[in-house]
Amino acid sequence: MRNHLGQLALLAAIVPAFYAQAQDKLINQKVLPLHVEVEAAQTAIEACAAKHVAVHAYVVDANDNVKLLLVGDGAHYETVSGARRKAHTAVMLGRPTIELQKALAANPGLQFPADPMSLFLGGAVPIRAGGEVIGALSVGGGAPEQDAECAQAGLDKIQPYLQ
Amino acid sequence: MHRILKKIALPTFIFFVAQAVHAQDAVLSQTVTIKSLAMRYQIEAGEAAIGACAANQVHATVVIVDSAGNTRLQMVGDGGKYSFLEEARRKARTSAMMRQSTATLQKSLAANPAMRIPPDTDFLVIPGGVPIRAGSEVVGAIGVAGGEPQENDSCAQAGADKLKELLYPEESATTAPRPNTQPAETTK
Repeated sequence: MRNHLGQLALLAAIVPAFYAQAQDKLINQKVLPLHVEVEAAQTAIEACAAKHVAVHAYVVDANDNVKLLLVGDGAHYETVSGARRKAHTAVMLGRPTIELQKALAANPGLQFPADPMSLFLGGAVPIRAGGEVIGALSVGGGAPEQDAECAQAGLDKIQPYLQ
Repeated sequence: MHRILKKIALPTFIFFVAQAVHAQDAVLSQTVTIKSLAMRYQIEAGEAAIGACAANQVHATVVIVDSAGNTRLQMVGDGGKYSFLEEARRKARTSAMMRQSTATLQKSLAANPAMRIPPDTDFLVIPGGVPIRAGSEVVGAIGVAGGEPQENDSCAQAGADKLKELLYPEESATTAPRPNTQPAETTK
């Protein structure tokens, strides 16, 4: 009996160590499935369309790769690069860009990383699952405040999936 | 002399104002209407193309462009690669510009190597691009990348077929289903 306990104790010590080692070598990264991204972006675009603002929306993953781009009915494509840059900013700094815009307006001396891709205008929100940033939803085409509201509406819609 | 100038000045002014107003009128009234797909139909087509590929264990990346070649939708399917976006976009653009599928274009080029295609660096003549038609008018194109050329072509075709079904439900019911569409749909 005592022997068995000893063996069990040894196993109990080795098995977690083995898994810990495997975990050290492989990194798990959360990604949103496409249909959830479509739901978020479509909700955001429709929220803006309801206010007669035609916008487009980007969804990027945690590494700032574009997963989805939707151009709303009547929206411009010329401004698409602005939304792309807002998505980059939100995913890099992990904060809604409207907050960054307000922070900068309140304190113009604020230092951010010198990154030519950054754009500190409202419209992008980071997507978090359990505190971890797994991507961003970015809306462009309206005024920054309008874009920010629509992006938030899109994020709110998919929030139940992000627990 | 001074008097003559005075007499001419007003009519001349009125003449030029009238010309300007007329020109503006003409500009305002001469518009061209270009059709493009509503966003929700583009989403349906993109998801149909990715779904058709997923049914064959192919992770696809899809781009939909309008008739002018502007990107209107980009989708990376679950497990798909971002690096294929460029390939998908170029196929879609080629297909929209040439108003035919890139598979057909590739065959015509093989049959007639002297055929001239526009010197556009964005052009890519590999199967996977299929035009979207509303009636006889090309209103855009779907480009699929991520699988083998023939697989990409059949997935893009599945997306275009889905649109045909949504835009013209009566016609689609009478035409025979294509062999490459999803089996679940063809058995219905």
